[in-house]
Amino acid sequence: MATTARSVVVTGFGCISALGHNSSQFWDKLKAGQTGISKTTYPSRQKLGDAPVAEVKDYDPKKYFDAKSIRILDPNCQFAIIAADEAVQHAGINFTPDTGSRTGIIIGTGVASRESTDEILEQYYKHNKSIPPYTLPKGLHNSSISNISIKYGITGPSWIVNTACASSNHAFGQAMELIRQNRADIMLAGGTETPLSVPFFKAWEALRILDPVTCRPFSKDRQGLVLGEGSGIVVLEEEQHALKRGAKIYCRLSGYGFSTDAYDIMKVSPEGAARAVREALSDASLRTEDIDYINAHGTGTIINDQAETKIIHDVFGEHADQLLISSTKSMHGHTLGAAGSLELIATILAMTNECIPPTINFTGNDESCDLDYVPNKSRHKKIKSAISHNFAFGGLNAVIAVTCYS
Amino acid sequence: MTTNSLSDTVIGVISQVCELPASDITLQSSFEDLNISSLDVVTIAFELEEELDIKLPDDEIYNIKTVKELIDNLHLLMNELETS
Repeated sequence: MATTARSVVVTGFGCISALGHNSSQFWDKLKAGQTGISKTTYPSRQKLGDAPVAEVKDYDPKKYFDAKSIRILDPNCQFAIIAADEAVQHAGINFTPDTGSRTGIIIGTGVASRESTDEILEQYYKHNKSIPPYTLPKGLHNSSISNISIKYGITGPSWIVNTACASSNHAFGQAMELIRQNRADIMLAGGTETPLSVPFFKAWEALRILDPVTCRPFSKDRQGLVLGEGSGIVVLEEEQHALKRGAKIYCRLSGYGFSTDAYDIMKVSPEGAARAVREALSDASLRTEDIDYINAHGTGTIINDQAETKIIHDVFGEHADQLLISSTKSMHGHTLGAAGSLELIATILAMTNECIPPTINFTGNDESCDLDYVPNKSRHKKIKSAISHNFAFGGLNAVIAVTCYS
Repeated sequence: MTTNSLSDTVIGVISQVCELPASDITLQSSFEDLNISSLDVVTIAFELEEELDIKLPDDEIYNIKTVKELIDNLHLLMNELETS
């Protein structure tokens, strides 16, 4: 554990994703190795055709919000509020003005409210319709944190992180640092993303890194990633604060490591990403042999999975063969700015349930991916410490270390 | 448009935008009492402009505090348009 006076623990979490509308459904499906990937089920997305996507299924905003809120809150923001509601309830926090002033929110989002904006712009360009006044507030990247803060009276430090696929892990690291520095006692941190706008999806397709069948990270037949949507929010709390109010503590958030590749706009630099992993271990005062599990970035692209395997070999040396590694993206898809949030929740649940969720759709190793990726079936394992990787386009790396609380 | 039918239109738009029963909205109601946010105010103005085909001056929108003030402003504006 880091030798800081104020250490950070997890006291709650909530999520909504292709694997269900709460963390309990999420875990049941992860553990069972069930996929959330299919072709779209929503008429508004029919132009996606048969392309595999990991969308939040059977989502009816009317179950969660009144008509006025639905008009002014984009699904990107709705998902974050739903995840935050579960996390706050899970943590058993009653926000008073005092608690609220010592609480902040940091949420990662890469794309934000693209589908609502697409719809409004289409009406404007094609039918010369006026742009309604709620367009801007609805499309703001910070809509999620602002609306959560209003709902709960959270008045401490809050902001949005936009570092593509590393957004959530950057959010966790920054939130952890604010608690360590005594700028806050509680932080709601995580990510939210709704990237399934048709033009945006086509832009990903143009990069030729989407798998036309499904997401099969580290597998010899992998062809790319599958975009997904959702949100995960984790309640981080200063340890003594949590103990004082009798909160259930799930684990420690023990370290983070950030780095920048300065190398290529799309390819991961093994050296850059390895620095983030080493920094996270060092920040958490963990040795390589202390790590039992890695929730990998594991996008399913040929290049990422090959580079990530090399990073693990470089950092962990002989211990790499002892590690259990899985990419839960094989089930909940790649939720870009929200990826780290769902994956940290998966890691926390793996630790508390002593069960490693699998990498599904795995048909075999190839030369460049030669580690134990927990293929297709979850595995019982007591985890003392784990890390979660996120490596973003543009060479931005963020790694979070989690340690068992005992 | 008569004052009564303009009032009905305004109350109808407020009711629809803010998801409030029309019976809760009176001429004397203030936006604060009705818990109408700044975004609601500008959305109400937008909907009324679309419906009545007029343009409320930007600097007046955020200064309007009550349903009656909104109706009076619209009435004045419509009279000015009629006489010009």
